[in-house]
Amino acid sequence: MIKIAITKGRIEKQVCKMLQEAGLDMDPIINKDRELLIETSDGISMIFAKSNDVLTFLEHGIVDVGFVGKDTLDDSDFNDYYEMLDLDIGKCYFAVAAYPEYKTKEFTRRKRIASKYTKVAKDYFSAKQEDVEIIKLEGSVELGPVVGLSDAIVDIVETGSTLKANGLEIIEKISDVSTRMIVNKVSLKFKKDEVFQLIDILKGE
Amino acid sequence: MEKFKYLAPEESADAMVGNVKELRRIENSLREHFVQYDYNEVVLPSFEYVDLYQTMDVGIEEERMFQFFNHEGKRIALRADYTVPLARLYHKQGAGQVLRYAYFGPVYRKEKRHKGRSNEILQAGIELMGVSGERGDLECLRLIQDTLPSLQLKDIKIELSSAKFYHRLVDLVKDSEFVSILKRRDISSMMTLIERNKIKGSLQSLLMMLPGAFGDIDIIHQTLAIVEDQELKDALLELKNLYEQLENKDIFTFDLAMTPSMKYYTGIIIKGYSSYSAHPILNGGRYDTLLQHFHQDVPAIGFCYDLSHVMSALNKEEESND
Repeated sequence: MIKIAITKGRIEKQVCKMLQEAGLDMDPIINKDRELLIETSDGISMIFAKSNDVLTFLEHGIVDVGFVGKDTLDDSDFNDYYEMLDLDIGKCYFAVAAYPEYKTKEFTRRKRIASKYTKVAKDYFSAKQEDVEIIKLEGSVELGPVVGLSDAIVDIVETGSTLKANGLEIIEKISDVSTRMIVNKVSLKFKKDEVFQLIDILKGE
Repeated sequence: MEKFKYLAPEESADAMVGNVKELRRIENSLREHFVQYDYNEVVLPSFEYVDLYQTMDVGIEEERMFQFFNHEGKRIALRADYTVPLARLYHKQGAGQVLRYAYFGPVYRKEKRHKGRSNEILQAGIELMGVSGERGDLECLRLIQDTLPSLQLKDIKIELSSAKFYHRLVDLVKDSEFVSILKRRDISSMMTLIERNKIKGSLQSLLMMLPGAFGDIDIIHQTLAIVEDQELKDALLELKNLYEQLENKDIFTFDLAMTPSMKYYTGIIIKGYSSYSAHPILNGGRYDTLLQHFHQDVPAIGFCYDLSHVMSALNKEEESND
């Protein structure tokens, strides 16, 4: 029995589709109602959780394998897991975005940066040796510059259409994001065959 | 202020109540074995200079130490590790001779908040100083074999690897991202790294198998069959040779992608896992250069059980049997 935690929503749908195409029985999951824990006939036990909680369950050894976006991994302090596979789905990227004048504007004070991903924002600006003030927003981060709370934002960008609709543009790309398969360190040692079977399936081999 | 008399701070682990007897039984059983092997139990102070850990460059980040300023204005840390203070003790006492130390007690390292991790880990371990190479390694591994039953945990794996193998690999690959990729066992990034550096031949095959390069002695044989570099080969042969000299060795497996948990490891590295613990229950390794910080060229090896993790594994094992 291998225990898996999947980020609810898009990642859940994409990963389940990949597993189904590889011939695994995903019907109980695709047809599920509101259950949060489901067992399939292939001996897989799956729970559905918010992205950060996938990490927490994995860390405590509740599940062996997790599927979660790189954005969540990058913004977490916790890194005691194996990040074994890039599924190459759910692709987008982290970027700094602002009004066009940001690029030429001379700042005499600390820049203010709004982001949901405060660790990513902090790491990025400290790597550039730029001292900025970071303000956490939970959603619609584009509002930061629009309402005048911040000078720029750090966010994940997929198509960039929300940015454009609000007059913002990409200042700099930070890093790529996609869905990753992570594995609990102890589980890998005790369930080597099951984990590598799953890896082979997802690699399409 | 009233409410604080009812609470323990977040840094505290829960009080141990029900299974203290069990803990003491394990400790006493370990102690008996340590004594049989001629190890001298020492009780170390709880306070150390932060500078001790910093100058020895052991890889414990300073933000993870519990610190305060003393009357000299110096930073003092709660003991964050036993090996470093014991190296200092050896310098004072030993100078060139063989000394065997055993210890029981907590080490203190700050963990992230709300992650359900303890800042205080109860350890029981040994250090063997002044015995080099195979003889010291074998004594250590045999002591592990003899003491493992004291824990009464069922599903245990003891994994061996080599810091020499790891350091040589890092030198050969020459890519600043390699260590982080290896630590994550990231198959996808490993492929990108191979392409980026145009790595070919034997090293390419080795890197590709590395994320899954763990298991019984066969993994050593398989790896030996593809490795061409002499230093890598020697490191593997050293592991193989150790294994061959042990008896009843089913408990030992290998993990060639293991990265040293302490910066001072130079030879074999050891990690123990229970299927009931999300954290290793045993850590150890050879550290032949640590004592050079005290201007002594003394080989040494040691290991310790993290008894806090052993206890929680025992609890979980019991629950799963109910």
